[in-house]
Amino acid sequence: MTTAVGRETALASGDDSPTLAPGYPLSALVGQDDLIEALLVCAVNPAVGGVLVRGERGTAKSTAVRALAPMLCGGGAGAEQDVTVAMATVTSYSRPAPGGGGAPLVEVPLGATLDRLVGSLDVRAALAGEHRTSPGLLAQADGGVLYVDEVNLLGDHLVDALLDAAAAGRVRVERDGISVEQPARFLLVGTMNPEEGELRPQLLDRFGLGVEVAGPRDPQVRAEIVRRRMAFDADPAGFAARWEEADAALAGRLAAARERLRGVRLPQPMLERITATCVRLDLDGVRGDLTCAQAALALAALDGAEEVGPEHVARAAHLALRHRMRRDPLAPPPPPGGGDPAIDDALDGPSEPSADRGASEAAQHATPGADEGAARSDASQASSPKPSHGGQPQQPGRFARPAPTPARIPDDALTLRGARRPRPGAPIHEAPAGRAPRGTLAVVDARPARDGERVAALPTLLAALRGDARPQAAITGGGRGATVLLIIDASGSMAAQRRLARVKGAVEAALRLSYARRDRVAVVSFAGDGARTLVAPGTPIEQAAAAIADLPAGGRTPLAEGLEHAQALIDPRDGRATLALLLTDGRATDRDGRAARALARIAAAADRTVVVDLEEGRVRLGLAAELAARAGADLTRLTAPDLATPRRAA
Amino acid sequence: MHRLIAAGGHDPDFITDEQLTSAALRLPAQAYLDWYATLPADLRERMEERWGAAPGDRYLDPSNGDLVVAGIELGDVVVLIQPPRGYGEDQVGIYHDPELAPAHHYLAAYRWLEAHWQADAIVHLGKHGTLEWTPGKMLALSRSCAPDAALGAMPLVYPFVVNDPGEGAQAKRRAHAVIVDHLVPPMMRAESYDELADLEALMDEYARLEVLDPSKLPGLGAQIWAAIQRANLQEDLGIDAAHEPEDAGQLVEHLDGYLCEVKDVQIKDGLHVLGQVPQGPQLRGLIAAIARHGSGEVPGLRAAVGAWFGLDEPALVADPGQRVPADDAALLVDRFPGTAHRGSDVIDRLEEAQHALLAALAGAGWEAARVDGIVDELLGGGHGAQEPDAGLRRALRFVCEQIVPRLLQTTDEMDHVIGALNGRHVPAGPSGAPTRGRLDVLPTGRNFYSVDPRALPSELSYATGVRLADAVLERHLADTGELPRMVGLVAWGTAAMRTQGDDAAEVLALLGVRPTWHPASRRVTGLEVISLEELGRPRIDVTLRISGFFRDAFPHLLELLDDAVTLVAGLDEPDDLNYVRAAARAEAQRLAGELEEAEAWRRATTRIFGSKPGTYGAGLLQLLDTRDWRDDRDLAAVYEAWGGFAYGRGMHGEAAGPAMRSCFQRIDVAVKNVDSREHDHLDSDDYFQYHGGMVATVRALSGREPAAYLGDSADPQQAKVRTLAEETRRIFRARVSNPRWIGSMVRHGFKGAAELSATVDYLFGYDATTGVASDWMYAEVAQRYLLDEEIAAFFDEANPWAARGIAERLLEAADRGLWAEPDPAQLAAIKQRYLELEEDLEEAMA
Repeated sequence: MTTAVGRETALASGDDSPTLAPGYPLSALVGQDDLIEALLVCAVNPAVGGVLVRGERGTAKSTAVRALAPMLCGGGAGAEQDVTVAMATVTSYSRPAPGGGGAPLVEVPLGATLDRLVGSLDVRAALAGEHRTSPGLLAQADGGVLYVDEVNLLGDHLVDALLDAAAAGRVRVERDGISVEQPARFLLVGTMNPEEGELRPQLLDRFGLGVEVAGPRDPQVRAEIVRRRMAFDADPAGFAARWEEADAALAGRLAAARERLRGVRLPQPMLERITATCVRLDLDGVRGDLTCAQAALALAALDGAEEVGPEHVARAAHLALRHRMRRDPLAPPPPPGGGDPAIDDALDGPSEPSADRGASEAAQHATPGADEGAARSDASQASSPKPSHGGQPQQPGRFARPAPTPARIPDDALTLRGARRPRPGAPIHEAPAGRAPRGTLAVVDARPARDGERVAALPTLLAALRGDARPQAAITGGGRGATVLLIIDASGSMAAQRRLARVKGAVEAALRLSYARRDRVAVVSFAGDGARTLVAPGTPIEQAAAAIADLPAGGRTPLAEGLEHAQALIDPRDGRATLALLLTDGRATDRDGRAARALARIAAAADRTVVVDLEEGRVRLGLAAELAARAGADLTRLTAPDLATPRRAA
Repeated sequence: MHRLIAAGGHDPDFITDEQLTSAALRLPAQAYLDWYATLPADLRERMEERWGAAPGDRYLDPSNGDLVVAGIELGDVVVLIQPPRGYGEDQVGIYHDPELAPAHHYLAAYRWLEAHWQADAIVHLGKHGTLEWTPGKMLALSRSCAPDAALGAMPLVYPFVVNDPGEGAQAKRRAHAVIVDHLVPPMMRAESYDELADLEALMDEYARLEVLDPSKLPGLGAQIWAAIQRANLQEDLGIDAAHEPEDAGQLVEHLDGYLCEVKDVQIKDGLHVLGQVPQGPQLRGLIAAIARHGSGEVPGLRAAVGAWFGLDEPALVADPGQRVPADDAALLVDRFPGTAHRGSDVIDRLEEAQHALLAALAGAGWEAARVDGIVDELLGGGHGAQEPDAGLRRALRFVCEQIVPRLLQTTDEMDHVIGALNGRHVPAGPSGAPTRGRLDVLPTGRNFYSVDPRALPSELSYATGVRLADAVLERHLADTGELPRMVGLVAWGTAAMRTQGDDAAEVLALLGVRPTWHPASRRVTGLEVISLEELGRPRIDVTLRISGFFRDAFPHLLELLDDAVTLVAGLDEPDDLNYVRAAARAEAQRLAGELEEAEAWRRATTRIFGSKPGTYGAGLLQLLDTRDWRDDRDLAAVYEAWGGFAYGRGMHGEAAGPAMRSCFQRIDVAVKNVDSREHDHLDSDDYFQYHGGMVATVRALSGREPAAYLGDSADPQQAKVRTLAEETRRIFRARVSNPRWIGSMVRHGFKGAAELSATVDYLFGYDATTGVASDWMYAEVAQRYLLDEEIAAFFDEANPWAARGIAERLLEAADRGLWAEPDPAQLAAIKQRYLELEEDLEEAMA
């Protein structure tokens, strides 16, 4: 990648138009040093390849990016106005202004379609009989910043297209009879609030740098933020003027660093340090090594150094590697801000994986098929033990509870099939056949409409241009995950340590799958005197995992209450497909059939309802199966392949 | 017990993180590790092979790794549940390896007692514990032996039932226990109840009509037949359920005899309470049971009462269905009014007379001086100083002067337990079954000793053994028309100590040899062959399955029995008169290709099989508890894995699977002897494990259904043999479904409920191994132990876990088809009860 962003133009030159409100100055930001450093690194060295900013709401993510944009293209505060214009007029935008003139900050709105992103037929021109392309947002961002707020909520197919373009530096559109290629060299900045859902690992990996941000916890610092923000709101121009000098200095440092970048050397020992660190962290591929090296160069350049030093490598590693570490999706998230101890350990040289890693391995080991977990723990035993802090040498996790018996819910139980709603009149337990499975990535964005379906105007028009006269229906929700509703029996019969461990193992397996598919998960448990929502729909997955780990259990089996409670959580307006999983041993008295009726209502409301029969032992009453049959739900058994394996074979 | 279970229990099916986290008694993992590191390496290796690195993963507080001990502290006493051995944890192990090293938690619990709680001593309550059966040497234990590692230096006081010298000796030898023996449970006569009582009334009516109005007899006969079917008695009587027998008179006689036998069975009347003298009816019942056989010059008590009235009680017992002339019983009926048509009626009257006498003596404070007055008053004018009057008075004085004082000293039990804890001497005493003529074992509260193993089999027990052998052969001949060629016999060390070697003697008798004894010491000096002429039948081949304790206690007996086999196999006799030689030669020939001649002969004459050296048990209890088996082949696999080791001269437990299979597949009849009324075969897991397991193994190996017999030498003078099916029905009616027995268990709350539950397990175990239980038995148990409202209320209060266990067993039996055709309504009721129990337990544990 070349320095597409590094377009050298004059620095902020005081040509502020009095009608334009200035943006918040970058140097006035408080307490987000990591974020600013990451943005500067990308600005200095575009080869780093974009930043992913993870953090809660209201942590100045957007402010920082907006403040950086003018600095990138040297447009000063005025550039923001361009962006605003660009955003407002994007549909009539034919081609990005070539060269200078202030590179845009282009935001990708959440509701963007693929057409909008990559470009498509210029409809207006088409109506006039002209065959012309309308450039998409990717091409528009050429030479500037492509900003995706809440990238985790963007449809996967859009993220794919976006990352493809970012990697290639160009976007190629071949559709609707058009074939065109446009430059799309931009600095990709994505933000996300993990509470609203995760990004798939393969997408995570394609962001160059990853930064965790959090609101400062120091009241003094927070007070300063508030003071500055209030001052800015009261008098933006005056505020900006007060920080102009600092911003200018920053911009100058940025420009100087860009200038110096090509001359910075990466000594062999430093390169080896980077690669050794990545090996110890067991990263896939060399994307991490490469990005880390590029970031280290940029940091050295920013520091005015002539060659990369250990400090640069360390800082680069934290920026470039953290989000690539194979983190167990269900483990609690690393603390925001500051360094990751695992990376520090890896930088420090040969040692066994840290306790943090060990725990994550143990968790992975519990995952079906995670053979590598076992292999690695063997390897770690072979390495020399790390002295622990005082006392006897102890293996990490030595007193940990035994890992739950590997147990999983059969994959087919987690696959949605059938229609969103049963056909009217059809028995509710009959799965309508012949539909493509939902919940998988949509490959088309429109298809011929069926009777009674609403016709989508644009796809129909485009189809007509292709010579397909059929009315088209847009596919909504394509590529979106489903809502998975887990209903867990946590009564006394399930509370026994070993059984509960199996249930937790099974739920974790379900969560993992949901995670990979970006499903939304809700968890309801019932035990003792009632039911409760353990995980509300849309809660981040690691919080769901934590809630499962602490699953309270014991007491009677209020099966009917549990099902009624769960039923209330199903939102018929939720565009997503709904999958309801009931995990129970069925051991409850349901004399009046209330539980069966409640489950039948769930089965009617959800796209698929599966009873996972957890009854164990030689003596089985088969009540879960009975319940499923009566309610018209599917039935499956928890599979635990290792149960039959002799302990001593290990 | 409820508090103890709430404090943790040990059921991995139920234990929760919460319980483990909140448990009060705990050993920090580091403390265990530090101590564990001091154990010998070989022990640690075996433990780690099975249970992983210390401290294992069982019963750990998930929050900090402490090892949790289930128990409650009561001042200076802490009450613990013996930690589980962990068989259910490792199901595959049961199939392959009987040698289960102690789990970390097992040792940790004892370690906690010694080092943390700093107990001065341990009292193990309840025999059949696990510590003395953990792997290791049989005698002179080393540090690497599990019992030694667990106990450390803590003194162990072990109250033990006086009739179980074998297991007690084991505790002394392997767990340095000081035994304080205790009394057997009180005994009572089974009597009749419910349908059986109804039938009795009908039969009385029948006897009356026979005299008064024979024309009404056919109608009554039909009623009786209907009642028999209601009570499922047709199997017991060996008649075809589909056809009503034509001769009602014969049927009634047959039935009367059978019912009498059932109601005359001595059964346990509740449980013994340590240190407490039985009171009231329990005391009198126990006295009657002890006095039944008499002693030397003293006649048996009930027989003496009969003799007093001019009746031959033993003859009546031998044939209770027989009609008794009215004149014969006139004197008796005059004093103790009631029916007296048949022998069984007369026995009932004698029973009443006996209890009237005992009750009067009790009222008189058991003063021997009052005997004469009471006899005169209750029985009327006597015969003076002559027999039989003198006999009865002797028997009653014997009760007052010998039996009662010894029983009143039962308080020694507790005194001596306390004494032992105070470091005082516990006086020694003999061991044995008091109702089998061993009054000398009373009073209890003694540190019992067993027998001189070199005196076995004694001359008396050899006589009993001959009777047992003859009874087996007669029965087999009667049932099948031919003698068995191979008898399989189960021999336990405890029984050998109790009987002075009945089982070994039976083996010798079947082989046609007899021991020779030293004239002075009465020790066994050798063997002599009984000639075929004297024997009058072929020599019968025998295969022995010995218990681990038999091996430990009687090494020389194993050599003696092995010598007897090789001796007989080497006799130059025709094959059709020496089944041992015939089989050994055929086997040796078969092996000629693969083994040296001597080796082949050794293999072909191997007949004694037992537990792997250093281990105990037959493995089936553990297997059935896991419920992880499908059919006979699984049972046989475990039976062989646990018992396929050869013993004899020069053989010390070598793995001998092929030899065992070769012998077992030839077994025609599987025999286990029950030597005392203080036990029956539905009383303990070992019966179905060893005997049932033998039957299942023979079936799995040969595809044949071998005959299964239970020898009865409770009266050594009158050895009997019953088929397993007969004995099961008899015990089922006399005890298992008897409201009197059930009621006696109810008196004991938690433990009584546990006994009821265990009885269901044993019945199930015997059925699983031999198919002996009929559907109606399951239905009866379901009704009487589980669904009946009163009993359900009892279980809810005393021991809901036991009720849940019963329900689960019954459902398992139905599921496996052992209970082939349960009534759907009853099955649904069991399920419902099971769910309710589970809900209640869920709530209680929450």
